Amino acid sequence: MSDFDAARDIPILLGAFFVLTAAIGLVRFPDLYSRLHASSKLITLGSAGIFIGVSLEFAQTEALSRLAAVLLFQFLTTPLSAYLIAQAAYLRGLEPLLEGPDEWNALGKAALLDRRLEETGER
Amino acid sequence: MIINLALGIVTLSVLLVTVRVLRGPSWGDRIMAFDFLSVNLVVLIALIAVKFRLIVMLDAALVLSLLGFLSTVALTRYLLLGRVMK
Repeated sequence: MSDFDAARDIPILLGAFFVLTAAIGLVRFPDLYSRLHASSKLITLGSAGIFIGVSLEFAQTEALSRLAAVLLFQFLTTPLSAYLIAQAAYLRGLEPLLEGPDEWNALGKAALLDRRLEETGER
Repeated sequence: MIINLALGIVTLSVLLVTVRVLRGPSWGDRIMAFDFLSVNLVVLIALIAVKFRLIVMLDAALVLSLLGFLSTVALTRYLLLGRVMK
């Protein structure tokens, strides 16, 4: 931790920059869907950078296996949770700020609600 | 040195997202901000593991990333369907 190690420090700094950018986007954007877009994509990239830098710092197998598991799990679940939040908000009736054509909106909402109800056996 | 700078930046992003948690106009914003906070805490724990040379903290990061995703799924299911499980 005394001097500059480029292989460790550049991914960590890039990751911290992307995490800060995601937080600014989450505070400043006008709509839930645009906030979700900014934060979920950028937090994936930023956490990946930081985990790669941390795994270059540690050289033991115990640390590397845990960091690989965390990285893989973040890559799998961050888009999933963003998808779930957007789907729940859309089905609860939160309209996007920028709309597509009307027939697309009606078709998408009806089909999504049908599939959701069939999956959960609510009907 | 760089680790301290990265810790400061990630802590600043935690504070910014706390603004969104307190001010968020709908429940979706709050769930999204809590999900973001859980990922931020995982990153913070990984950086603390580097700063104090503690490999044990990485176990905490793994468990926290699992629990953050699980809580997001449970909250969205509850608010969409009215219940979490059958």
